Amino acid sequence: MKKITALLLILIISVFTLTGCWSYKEIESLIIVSGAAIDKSDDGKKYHLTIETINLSGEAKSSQPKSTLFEADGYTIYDAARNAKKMATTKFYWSNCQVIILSQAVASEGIISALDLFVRTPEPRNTIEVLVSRDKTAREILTNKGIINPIVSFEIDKIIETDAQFLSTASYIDLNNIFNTLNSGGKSLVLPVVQSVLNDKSLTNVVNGDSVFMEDKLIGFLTAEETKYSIFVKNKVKGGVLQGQIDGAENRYALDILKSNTKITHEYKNGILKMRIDIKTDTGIYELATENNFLHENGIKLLEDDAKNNLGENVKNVIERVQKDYGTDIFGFGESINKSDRKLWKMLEDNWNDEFKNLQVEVNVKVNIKNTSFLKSPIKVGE
Amino acid sequence: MFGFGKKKKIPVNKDKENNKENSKDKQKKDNKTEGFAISESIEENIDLIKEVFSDNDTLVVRKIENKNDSSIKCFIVYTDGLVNNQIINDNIIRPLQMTERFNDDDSDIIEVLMTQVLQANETKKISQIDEIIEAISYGDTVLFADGSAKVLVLNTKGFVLRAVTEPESEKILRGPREGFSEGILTNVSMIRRRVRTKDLKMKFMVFGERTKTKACILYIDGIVNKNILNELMRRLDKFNMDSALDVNYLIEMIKDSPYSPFKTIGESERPDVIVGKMLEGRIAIVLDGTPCVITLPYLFVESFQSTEDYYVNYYYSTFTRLLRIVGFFVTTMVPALYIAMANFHHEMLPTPLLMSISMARSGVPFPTVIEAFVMIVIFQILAETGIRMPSGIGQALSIVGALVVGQAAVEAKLVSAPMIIIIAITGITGLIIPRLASASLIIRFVLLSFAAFLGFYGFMFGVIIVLIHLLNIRSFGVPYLTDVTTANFQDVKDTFFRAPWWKMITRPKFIAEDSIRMKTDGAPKP
Repeated sequence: MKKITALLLILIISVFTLTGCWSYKEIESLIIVSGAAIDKSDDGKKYHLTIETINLSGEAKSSQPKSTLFEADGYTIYDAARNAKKMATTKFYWSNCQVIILSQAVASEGIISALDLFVRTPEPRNTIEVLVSRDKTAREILTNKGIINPIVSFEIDKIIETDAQFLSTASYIDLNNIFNTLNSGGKSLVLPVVQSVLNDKSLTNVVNGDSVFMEDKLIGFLTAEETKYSIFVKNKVKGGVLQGQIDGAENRYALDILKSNTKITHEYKNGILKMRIDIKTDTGIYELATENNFLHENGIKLLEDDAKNNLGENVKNVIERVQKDYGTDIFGFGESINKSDRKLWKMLEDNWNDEFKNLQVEVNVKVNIKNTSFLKSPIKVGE
Repeated sequence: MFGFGKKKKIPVNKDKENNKENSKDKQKKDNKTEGFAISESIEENIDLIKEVFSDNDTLVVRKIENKNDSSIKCFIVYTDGLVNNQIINDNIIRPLQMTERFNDDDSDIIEVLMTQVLQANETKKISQIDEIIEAISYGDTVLFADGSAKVLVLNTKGFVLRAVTEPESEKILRGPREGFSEGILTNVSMIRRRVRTKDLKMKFMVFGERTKTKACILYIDGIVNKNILNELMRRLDKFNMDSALDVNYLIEMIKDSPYSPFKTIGESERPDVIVGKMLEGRIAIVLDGTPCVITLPYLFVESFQSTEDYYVNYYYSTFTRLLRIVGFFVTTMVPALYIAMANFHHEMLPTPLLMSISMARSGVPFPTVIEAFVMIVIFQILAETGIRMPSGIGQALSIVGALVVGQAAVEAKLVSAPMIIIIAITGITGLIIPRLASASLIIRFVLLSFAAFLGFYGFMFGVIIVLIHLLNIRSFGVPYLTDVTTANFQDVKDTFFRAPWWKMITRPKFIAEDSIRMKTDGAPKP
């Protein structure tokens, strides 16, 4: 009994005296990293790391937290991060880092060497979003102002996350996905693009299309519109807008994508590979900027046909452009062949980039208009 | 730490010591009353009584002579204040004085008085001085008659008892309002009234060398497990304290796992609760002088059961019971989890939460662990003050508690706001399960200490220790976690949820001998 009491006393006393034990760390002493930007340094030999941290000092109750930037050079990212620590009270805490922005220079050099640290070390999460800056440097992005959230990284992360739902103009790819894609072989990497834009008299960030990679090196960009059609091919569309016009500009319409499904099948005959892409999209009419009434059987048919032709055309165009300009399979055709016909894929695998450039594509689109929202007829003046 | 391995039988030599003490006590007792023997002479007996009750001015000794037959001389002895004077006047003194004729056939005068003269409902012939002392101390009147070495004890109890009211500590919204009071007979009667069969057995025992407190062991024959009953009797026989003022004296002397903070014997102030438990095969002990009645064996789940569960709709009672179970986990674990997350495993916190805790903590001088310990202690102080203080100054306490500790301390940056919230949640949920209050306080500190050392690893370590301890406890041979660690419907029907009455076909396992409560499935078939 005496021994137990003594032990208990020691335990209790040491709670109060030895609070600095195993990885004990007070929460307010952390420097929380929200995002980072990786550039090349001026001489081109080092990385220039810009770390956005959340500044929680000051009046805690009233104001929203602001972000503070730390910048440092280093031969590796880790080196740079430790160099940045020279200015900080403690080491950076990376678990809440949500965004990494790469400059074009870094991305063209190869992203693996820049991102290795974030996958290898325990603190950063695999859900970090990686973007490519279309601006001259990646640092600029973090110096721009966030509109809703003063912490730029968090805002960018939220913008991409919700993009898939309403626009489908940028891919949402996290660190985990990046390395899976790089490993897989039958699919090339794309990363969303962020750039500065002038809004309400100050510079802010806009997420705008995808960047195209050959292996882990940046080779070009897709516009937002092109990205949308490439996402159609990838069967990742959850929402967005299809617009067009019938017989001239006065009959503009906009369809909201409710549901979309894409099936990719292939045909291999006499050494010629042919991909067949079947897109089936359900939409609703959200805008008819015209006085003509399309809300009857034939009118809706007209709209459906027009949307169908537009979509088919655009999808074809984007595939052709990627084949011609970049020659890298961002659509995952290789992956789909691998899944359905492993033997064929084994045969094509080694030479896939050339095969991709030359493969034939057939696009079949079906657009359904499921509803017309609240109005049964066009809005007219004076009736 | 919690009495692991304390289930072992008491070593033999200790047993012997107990016996020695017992015999010593007996010797002492004998010494005290030795030489005091009742004689046949009335004068000698008066002297004897006056000597035994020397320096006791409440004692009333009254001589009585029959007016018709002067050979009948007697005197009565009683304690003033404990007796009903009217009974003594009308039914004892008057008949003794006025009786005209005796059926005189040379028989024992005491016998004659008892059968023919006295109008007292409960009488007893005794001759031991100890018994006389006890009777007089308990409001009975003792009658000494000239020419008899035996005395007559007459029931004239008339002391004032608290009325039967609703128990303060076990308020309910729906259900009987009756609660036990301090008189043992009143309490036993409340139980008797509810179980009107011959199977209800009531055995009286006396505890305490000096207080001679009466206790009644109640059980329902045919349901009760005889092994448990025998074990209880064995343990009660070992009770050797000088007093038993409350059932807790008994509980601590006969409890399993004596060092454990968990209760292994149940308590209640409600007769309906006690009867309900007896009908499940449990044994109840009523002790004189306390409104608390104990039942045993006691299982862990009983801490989460409330009387009201059985009186309201079973969906509702299932919900409230789940709340109580969640409350237990919250009250024991939340401070430890908070420490583990805020000081060790920051990655467990979502970013906005991390930011708000970090902001609230900035500027607070103490480490979170010390903050937690101090705040828990302060909460306990407030709670304790609330119980002890005179009710008139309750408002001052709530102002101090709510404003000073809650608001001013946060604004002065002595404590962080999240910690106040954590402690408030801990405190409030702790009140849902009053029967586990002491155990949860200790578990809370244990888990908190472990979490403060090793984060979640330490926390899990603490949880495992508590679980192992719980699995080790027995209550009179019945595993403490019976019915919790199975998946059989009839076993768990009254644990995490409360099944409808017509589904409760069997009585709890191990406790009851006759485990069938319903002969047929009682589902209503309208």
